[in-house]
Amino acid sequence: MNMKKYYAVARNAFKQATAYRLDAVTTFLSSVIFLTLYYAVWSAIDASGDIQGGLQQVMTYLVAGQIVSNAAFLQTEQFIGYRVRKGTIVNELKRPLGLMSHVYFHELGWVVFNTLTKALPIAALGVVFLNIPLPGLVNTAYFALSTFLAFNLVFLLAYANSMLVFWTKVDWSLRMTRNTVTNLFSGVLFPLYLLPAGLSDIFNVLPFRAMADAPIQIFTGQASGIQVLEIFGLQLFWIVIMFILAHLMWRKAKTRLTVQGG
Amino acid sequence: MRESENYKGEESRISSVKKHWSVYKKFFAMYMKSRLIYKADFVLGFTSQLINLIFSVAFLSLLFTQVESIQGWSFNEILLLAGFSGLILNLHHIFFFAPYRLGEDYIISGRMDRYFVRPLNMLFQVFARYIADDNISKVLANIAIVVYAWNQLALNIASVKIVYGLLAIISGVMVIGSIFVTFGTTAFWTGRSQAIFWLFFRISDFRRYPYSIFSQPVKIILITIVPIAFTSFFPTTFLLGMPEWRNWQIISLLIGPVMYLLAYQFWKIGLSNYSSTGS
Repeated sequence: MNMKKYYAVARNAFKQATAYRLDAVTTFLSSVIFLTLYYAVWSAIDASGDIQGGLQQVMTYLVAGQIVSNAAFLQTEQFIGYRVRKGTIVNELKRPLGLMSHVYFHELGWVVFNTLTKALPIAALGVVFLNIPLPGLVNTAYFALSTFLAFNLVFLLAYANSMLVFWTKVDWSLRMTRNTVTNLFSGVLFPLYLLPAGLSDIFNVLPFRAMADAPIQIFTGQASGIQVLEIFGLQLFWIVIMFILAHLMWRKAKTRLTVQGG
Repeated sequence: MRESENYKGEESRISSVKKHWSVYKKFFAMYMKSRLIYKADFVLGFTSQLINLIFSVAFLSLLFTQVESIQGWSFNEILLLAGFSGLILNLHHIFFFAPYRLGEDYIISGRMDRYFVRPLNMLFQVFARYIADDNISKVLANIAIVVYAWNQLALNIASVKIVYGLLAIISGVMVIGSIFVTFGTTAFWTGRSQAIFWLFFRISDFRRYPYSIFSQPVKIILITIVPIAFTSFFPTTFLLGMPEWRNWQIISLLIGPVMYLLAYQFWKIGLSNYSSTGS
């Protein structure tokens, strides 16, 4: 079957990832630092005012956000940026699979690695130190599915963004900007259920909410029953839009393909 | 006899400083010329840093939709804290960011070797090679934030505050510098430095919030291993006129040179441990 080559790409990426064990430790510690900081900040806010739903709900939301972002938020721009600068991007065009599917399955290998080494330890940490309630079996499955959809969306946005590298030749600033914008608008930094009404409308029309807030709502139990289906629907809607955008960007970028050095 | 030797020592030190300064100017000019080739990189870096800062302010504003003040600190006071500490941090980054890649770019690659054969200070050569000019946008934006918050809080412009502020910036840049040198030096043993700096970048977010909200272990870290409280909270309390932190405000002005000297001693130990990768 044709699936074999995709599997091979994903497995290779996973093996590659295991060479970056130190990176996994650092990412995990980064999340610990992040949660320590915002536990202190939200505790202080809780002491000075009244948070809707209380401190525990904020922390559950933030821990879930760290699980989702550690598992599904990838730095695809690096993969493409490196190859564009080196000129090896031309090899990607000779492969028996398209550029997008190659990068997709490569990133999928990383997602498996990140889930095992970064996301699951954060979940364990949240349960032990912050008493985070885990969702039931069915909701955990929904959460996993929604996180997977979030990965697809993040991937497509990052892929579309990386096409700009064909013009700029540098990727770190493009990546930084996407991460900056995504982190705030997706809910990773700030629980979106706390937004005042007017601001909430702005966040609702943007695609970022479907990248983290969507699975988080399932994790925290804020969404249930038919709402879970609505969340999947919203994520799929944005995936289709992003897929079209990513394709258009790639078609434009292909015409810009220059190979340095040869 | 002895007197003239002393005199000679003094003179050669002055001429050494002069030499380093003139070399730095040449390195700087060279670096800026090479940057002109990558204008897009500069423009994008400048812009993305600016967007990043705007989003941190937006995040602070979101926090303040929930509450009037965080442990007695109003939005504008926190803004001053974030702006002033950001000014110190990014000012440091423009000139002294190089230790971030010390392990990957200098030690593992063996590039460090060439620095040994030049009659220049080793740490100086590391700094002189890299100017993180994309931080200029954050320095400018942080100055704007400080000015805005200062006006909103209707703080007076007393000359003692101006002098204190300038000294705190100098000392603060040295504190951040000592962290960079210390963290970078660990790469002489580990061969890597970026990973440990990622942790620093995350911890440096603590500077935006009042020191008093943190638990005891965190407070201790912020004045010892990663002493950023001296570059953020303590000096800002002086600018805001909070006398209860008086001792810490004074220490903040003195700690920079002390920490830098300690970090430099650690750097020399690390350097004596360097063995070329031989590639």
